[in-house]
Order: sequence, then C-alpha cells, then structure tokens
Amino acid sequence: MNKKQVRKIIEALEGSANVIAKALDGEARLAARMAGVLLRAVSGLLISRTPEEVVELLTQMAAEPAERAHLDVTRDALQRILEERRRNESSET
Amino acid sequence: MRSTLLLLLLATGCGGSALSHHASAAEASRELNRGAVEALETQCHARVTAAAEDTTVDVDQAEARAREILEACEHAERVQHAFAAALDVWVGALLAAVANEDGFDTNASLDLARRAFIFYDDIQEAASRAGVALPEVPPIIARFIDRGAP
Repeated sequence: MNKKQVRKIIEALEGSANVIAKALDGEARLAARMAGVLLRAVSGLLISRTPEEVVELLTQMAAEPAERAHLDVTRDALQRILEERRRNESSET
Repeated sequence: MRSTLLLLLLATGCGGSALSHHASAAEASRELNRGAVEALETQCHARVTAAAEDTTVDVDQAEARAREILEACEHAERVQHAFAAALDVWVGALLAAVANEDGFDTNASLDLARRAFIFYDDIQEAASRAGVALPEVPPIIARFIDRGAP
C-alpha cells in the first residue's frame, strides 16, 4: 500500500467521522468531529503532501480566515428571557 | 497565483516536507479551532439560558448567575478571536515561505504556532470558568508544536 492509498483511506475515515458528527448532538457531536480532526492531523503529519497539494492547501486556508465565535444570539436570548420573566412577574402582582 | 507559488516552491526546493507538515498542522489546528467555536457557541448558549430560566431562584438572582456565566463566555470569545487571528498569521507566514528563496524557517513557524496555542490554553481556562468544556488539543498536534516533528 503506498502513501496515496493510505491517505485516501484516512480521508474516507475522516469523511465518515464528519457524517456521524452531523447525525449527533452536543458532546457526542463534538467528539465525532474531533475524531475527524485527529485523523486529518495524522494523515497530514505522517504523510507528506506534494508541493502542488501544499500550495493548494495554503492558498485555500489563506483565502478563508479562521472561524470566530459569536455570542450575539446568546446575549439576545438572555435579554429576551429576563424581560419575559419580569413581565410575567409584574403581571402576576 | 497558485501556479506562480508552485513554481517558486519547486524551483527553490524550500524544505518541501517540513513545509508540508507545518501546513498540515495548521490545517488541523484550524479544525480544532472550528470545534472550539462550535463548543463555545452551543454550550455557552445552553448554560446562560438555563441560568436565566432557573425558576428555583428569583429573576434578579437568575440574572446575576446568567451574567456571571456570560462574562466568562465573553472573555473566552475575545481570546478565541485572538487565537483565530494568530492562526491566520501562521498560515500567512507559511504561504509567504513558499515564495521565500532563503528556504523555510521551521523555527519561526513553530514559534508562531506556539504563540497561537498559548491563546488556546487561555480560551480553555476562560471557558471552564463558565462550565464549558472545549476540545483538547490532539496529542499529535501538541507533540508537533512542541518538538517540530510528528
């Protein structure tokens, strides 16, 4: 089995982990996704890419900034819940 | 642009294998970052809203607890942005290395990676104060960043 075949297998496993992750929720989903991350790391760190693949990968990554977390939805939800609770409390009294 | 970079990489022969490993580590680190973002957004939301909806305490107490959790989450959010920015700098440096005729500086690249992962430790610490568990750094990535080899 050559490196290319090994990488194909690892990529298939990584794809499966991501498919499983989509079907799960919460911590199980995260665990499945992290399994995919681990496979990707193993594949990339143990099997060198060709120069073409390196350039392609770096170009793709540079084109799309790393993801940023946004808690706006949580802030809005907190505000809404508190307003609703206070409205309910004042209507009861 | 991609073909120009490829020609440069082939022409300079600048540490192709090392660069490949660093690019792969950066890719896996970005995936780890994606997992952290997902965990932060979903778990912070669940914990903040649960605290705000807690009917065993009055609304003022519920608000105080929810805001305490939100504050820790917002700190984690800010540090996560710094981590993401540091990863972007690392990727930018790797891309620049392709065109660098002097060769690929593995130490400089590892230094950027290590600086980025200091932020990841801080995100985990801030998130844990909110009761949120972020994914651990996979050992293969941690080892690579520590010693520069898989």
